Amino acid sequence: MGSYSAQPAAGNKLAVHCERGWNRSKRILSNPPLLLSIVLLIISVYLVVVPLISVLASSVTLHSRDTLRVFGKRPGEFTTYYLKRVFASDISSVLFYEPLMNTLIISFLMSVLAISIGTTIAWFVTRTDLPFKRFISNTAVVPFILPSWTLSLAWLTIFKNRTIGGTTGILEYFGVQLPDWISYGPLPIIITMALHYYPFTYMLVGSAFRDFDTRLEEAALVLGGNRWTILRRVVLPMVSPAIVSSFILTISRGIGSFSTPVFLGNPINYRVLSTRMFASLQAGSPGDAYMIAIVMILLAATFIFISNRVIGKRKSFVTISGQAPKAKLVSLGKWRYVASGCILLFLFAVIVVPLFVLAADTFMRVPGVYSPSNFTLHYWIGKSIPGILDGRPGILRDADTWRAFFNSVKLGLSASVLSAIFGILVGYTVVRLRGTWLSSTLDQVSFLPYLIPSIAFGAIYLSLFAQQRGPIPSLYGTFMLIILATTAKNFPFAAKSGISAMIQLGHEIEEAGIIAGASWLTRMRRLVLPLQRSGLLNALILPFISAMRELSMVVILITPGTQLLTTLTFRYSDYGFYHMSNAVVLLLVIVIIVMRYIMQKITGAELSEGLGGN
Amino acid sequence: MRRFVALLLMLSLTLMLGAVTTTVCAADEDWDAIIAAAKKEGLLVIYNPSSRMGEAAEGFTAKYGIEVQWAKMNDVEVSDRVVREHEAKARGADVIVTEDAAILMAQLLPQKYVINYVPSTCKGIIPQEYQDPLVYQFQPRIFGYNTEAYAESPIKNLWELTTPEWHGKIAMRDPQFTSTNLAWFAEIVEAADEMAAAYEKCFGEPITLTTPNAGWEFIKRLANNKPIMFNSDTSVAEAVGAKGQADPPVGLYVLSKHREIPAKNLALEACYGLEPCMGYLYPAYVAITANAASPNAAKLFVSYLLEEGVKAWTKDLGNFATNPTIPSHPDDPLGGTEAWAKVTMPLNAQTTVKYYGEIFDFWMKHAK
Repeated sequence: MGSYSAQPAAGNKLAVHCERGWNRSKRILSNPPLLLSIVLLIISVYLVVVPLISVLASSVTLHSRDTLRVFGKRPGEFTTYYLKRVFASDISSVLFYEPLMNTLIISFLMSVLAISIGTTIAWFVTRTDLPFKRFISNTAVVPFILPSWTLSLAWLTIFKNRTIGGTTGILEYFGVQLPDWISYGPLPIIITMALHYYPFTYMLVGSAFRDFDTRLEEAALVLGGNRWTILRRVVLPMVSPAIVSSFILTISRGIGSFSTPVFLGNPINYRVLSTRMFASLQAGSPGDAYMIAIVMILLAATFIFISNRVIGKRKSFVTISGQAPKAKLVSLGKWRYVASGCILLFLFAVIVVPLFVLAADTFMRVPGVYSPSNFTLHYWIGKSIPGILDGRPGILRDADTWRAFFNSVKLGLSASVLSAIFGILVGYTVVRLRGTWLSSTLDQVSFLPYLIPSIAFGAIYLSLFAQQRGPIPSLYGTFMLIILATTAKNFPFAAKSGISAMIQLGHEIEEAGIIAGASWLTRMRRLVLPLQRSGLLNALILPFISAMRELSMVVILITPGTQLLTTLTFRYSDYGFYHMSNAVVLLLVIVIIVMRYIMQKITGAELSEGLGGN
Repeated sequence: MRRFVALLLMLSLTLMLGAVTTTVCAADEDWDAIIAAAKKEGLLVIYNPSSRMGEAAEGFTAKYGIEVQWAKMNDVEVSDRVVREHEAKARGADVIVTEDAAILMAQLLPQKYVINYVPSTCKGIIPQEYQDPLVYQFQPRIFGYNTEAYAESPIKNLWELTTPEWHGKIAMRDPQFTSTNLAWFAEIVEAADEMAAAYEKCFGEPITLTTPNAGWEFIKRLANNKPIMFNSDTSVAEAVGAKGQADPPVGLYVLSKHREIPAKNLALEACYGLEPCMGYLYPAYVAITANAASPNAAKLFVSYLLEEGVKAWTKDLGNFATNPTIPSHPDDPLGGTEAWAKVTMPLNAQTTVKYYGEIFDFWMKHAK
């Protein structure tokens, strides 16, 4: 018996082993979420992790131009030169410590301001009987869809003082003397950035306000809680994950934000990490730049770590069931028109006024002269005049404008569709596999691009994909590279919205599908995707808009043949052609608004529906 | 006189350096074959820092029917892109123009990313000293002032810029991103004795040094005086020359911005008589890339640029062709490159390379 059992035991072990392996592969193959997550993980590692490793390597590798500074080393050799230079040299405070402090101060205060504005408007729109709700709901997101430097340019047009010479802003023109701290630096940066980023909070928190089960609130009311207690003890805790997410998203945006500090900080040499990094790239010191980029990444990673600790405990709320509870709105009574009026006034001040100011500027022949004889259409439809703006014709006549226009639309469409698909698939797999390492790894990897400042992301992509790597040919100078980078940069948002949509959805619905015998594909097609329409819409429209107005990343990847509207406007302002720059920004704004409208028509829903503008 | 000696020194050094750089000797080129091949190549890509390249490109296309794509970018961008394209073997620039001697002499030429190419048609026309590396034009970047606020130049000596009176009232392109400004600082360090003499002339007493010499001292004090930084000469010229300013700055910008005075309604004049120099004179180098996709079109363009294309620049005051058959602008108050070289500091590639490693950090340290 003993010998009988001993013989097959070895074979049995092998057989068991084989069978285990086979079972495991079969499990993977028969488990679409698992298979999907592996594919998604490979894609995101290639597009995100590999670039990250490359930035680390670049920061300790001698750049070819620096052979003039570091003697006796060849380009590409290992060096600690940049490490010393950035963290412990004569110029460390300029290169690193001051920009670091500025970045922290600005990101934090800007986020606090943005969250306050966003949450306030979201609450009024979703939870009260505010009049003109639909209009407010639609309009409140507009600042986010505008290029972020629109407000900066408008700020300068109004508040620019005489410190930096040249033509002053409108206020100084009318004799108001402005100190530097109003015209440039931290204060205007914080204000304009908060006004740009608050819609982030507005949308995320608004969704949470709308989506949670109001029966909880009613229950609290029945139990005798007053409105404020309920707000504090029931409503806010329920939306606090959304608030914390918004805060994290906003603050990490703040750490990487570039265009606002460029316009409002550079004039007085007030630099944050991103503008300092760009400056180093521009000054031909990529080693310094990558070193700073790593700090920016670590900084943002710290916030993510904190956020995971904070939200981790609350993540498991499932607040939506199949039935839609009818929301009971807070009655504002006689204050409803006052509240509405204040919000409308605010929106007027942050949307209409800046755009009007910029538009007015494009119709002025000579900057700063506010008289009818100074009116001109030259910057829009004028023919080329030698000596003015390098003899460029008005932007609507300029072939460059139209090429950039089509490129921008192409980029927006491809990047948004690609990242929306990615987002929904990631959301699905991450939620379905919750608790496994695949789920958390995929979640984290797809969120990584958020930690990489756009500028660094662009620079890394440039160096990484400039050469042929394996089966992938050199993408340098191709439009594909820009699409890839933009899509990858959108992963975090796409994944987050995919994940939160799936969390909201709950598992019961798909379980019902399984019980009814529907296959995975059918469940996806008939249950999951349709229920996520508003999530899908967000996952399409927002990446489209952000791709359309992305500047800091693409500015590094652009070649003459792949110019976009954003890079065109940046180039113009860089060369001091502010009229042209303002005109292209306005064109961009029009394009974005029209495209958003068209996409809403195509997808058959309005963004406001997702926010309860009923 | 010192300027002349410096210029001569620069030329001889450039010649010596020429011996080690790669120069395509184009003594016996068949231009008919080159033109035919260039037309077959069809497309020419140019990276350069000047927007007027557009006009030269149009002229080239009109003459030869070869499409040109050109992009305006700064020196760092040009070199970064050329290096990347070279390594990626990607379709990139065929012709580059750069104003950064350090990048050209220490990186692009010796590491064979670009080739110094002098067309046989131009060998006998362009002065020998501008052939290696090939210079197609010179531009003065000078200090200017607002004529509405000042009847004459408010500064007579560069050292006045370091006094409290001009604190925060000097407009210039940010040296971090303007290789030529850094190269000028290198010349100032090299001309330390002259700077020391100018100091004494300005303040009537010898300079007390906190740095190795009067050149470094000037740069430090200039940086401490918080100049206002701009991205472009256009912005500097506007900052200085915009009308209606109570207390306008003086500024360092390219002389050619004076062409925009009427169109932009500016009140702008150069600080003639400024000692020891009213600015500097810098060359624009043109080269073709080592693995140009359209090498023949590139050669043809270099020849066109030297012979005719440069007129896109020289038709306005402030640009001087190295081609002596193209005269300087009739309104030129001084009369040609040599005259400007006397009142400015001509940039010397060797000096630029010599101080490249130090100047940037020194400026950054004191400009904060």
